[in-house]
Amino acid sequence: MPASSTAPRWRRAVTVAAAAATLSGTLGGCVVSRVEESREAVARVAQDESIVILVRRQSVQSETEEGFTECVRDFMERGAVDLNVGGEDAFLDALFPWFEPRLAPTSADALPELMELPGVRERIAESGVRYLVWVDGQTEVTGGGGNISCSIGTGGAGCLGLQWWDNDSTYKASIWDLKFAESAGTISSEATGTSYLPAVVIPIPLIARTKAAACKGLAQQLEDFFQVETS
Amino acid sequence: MPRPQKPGSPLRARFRLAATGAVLALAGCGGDIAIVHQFPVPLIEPLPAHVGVYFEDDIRYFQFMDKTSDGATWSVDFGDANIRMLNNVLGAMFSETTEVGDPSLTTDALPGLDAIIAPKIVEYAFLTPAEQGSKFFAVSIRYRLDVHQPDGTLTGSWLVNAYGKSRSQLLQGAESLAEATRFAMRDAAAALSEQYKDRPELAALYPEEESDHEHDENGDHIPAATSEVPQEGPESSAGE
Repeated sequence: MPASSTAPRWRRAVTVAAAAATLSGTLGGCVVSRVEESREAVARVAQDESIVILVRRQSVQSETEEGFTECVRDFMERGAVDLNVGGEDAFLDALFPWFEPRLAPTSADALPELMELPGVRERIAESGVRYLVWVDGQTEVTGGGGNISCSIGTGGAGCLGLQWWDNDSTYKASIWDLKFAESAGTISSEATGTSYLPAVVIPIPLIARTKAAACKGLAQQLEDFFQVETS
Repeated sequence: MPRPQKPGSPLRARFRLAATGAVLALAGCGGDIAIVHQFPVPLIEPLPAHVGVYFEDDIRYFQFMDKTSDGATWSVDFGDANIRMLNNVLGAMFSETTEVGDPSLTTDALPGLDAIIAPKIVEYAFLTPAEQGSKFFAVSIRYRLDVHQPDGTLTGSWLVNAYGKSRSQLLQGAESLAEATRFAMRDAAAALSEQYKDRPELAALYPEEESDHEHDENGDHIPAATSEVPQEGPESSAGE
């Protein structure tokens, strides 16, 4: 009977797909990551002070992925260090328009002048934000190669071949101290890796999670960067 | 006579419908967008002036529809987003604003106004990621603020070009375009907030700088440069 003969075939296909997904999730491509820090001042944070992570939006052609800053924020909020991480939108709205792409200071040298604008210093004090962390950078596919061919017929479908591509995640965080209107330091996080897509009947993606690695590296370094005052 | 349905047809039809929807979505067939975002009040110092604001229907009910080069149809409904944004900005820019509904722009029935501003949208345009070969939707908006004297005479027009972009998300092109439009409107608000103290159209509304001027015994202003030298003629003390 056709129904009984197709059922095991579907079951086999589902089993193979599940195995492929498990394999893909378990293995993954190889990632090399590097984090560098340049500290200009000791970054002390009182318990009633917070930091805000902002995305640099000045570039026309590129912009840090929203998911990346969310990843850094989530990681820091779940981390061992008790840091208050404020929301980007609330800060930008409270200080509107002075941190919009058109007007945002591009270096900490411009902070003293910004602080003298009517109401800015008072509004920042009200918000409790002590440090700004400007994140800039992105993840790009820098190269790749290979080929996969897939075919479908009456007996079934399948693919054969291999593809690979290189991912490069480069991010930089500039930390500004709003209390003293100066730069506190910079942290750069870079992760590179090659993803593979081998296909023997079913393609099994082995993804190099460079963005996740860069996020983790940056978040951990940021946690080390700040010293939370306990008193 | 209705055709008898084969067993499994509804499932197949549903699958076909879902597949068609997915293909259309992947093809980027546009979307209907409503701008429902809120806009913050700028943190700026108001000029001491009472200004009337007149919104024509063109900006009050601004809508945009376009078919892009890839065949996708997009429609953008601003609702009252322009009114909300401009009311927040102009409200922060001047000590008092009053929305006026009289298109004749005469102040006979509107006493106490120092000027009347009539904002307009001159141009709204966008590029999809496919059109510009990038990962972003890019939006540009050009606003024009016509500034009228209290007697209705046009003082000048203030043009503002604003720009916004948003990263394209898979199957969420409409949300990305709405976000890029929101960023462009915020950029316009930022530009207005930055420029208002240097606009020649608004020069009559600027307060006289106390640091540059002193008062004579009648309380009239005297330019600082001439206040320390003896007044020799009518021309040296004139001009105030």
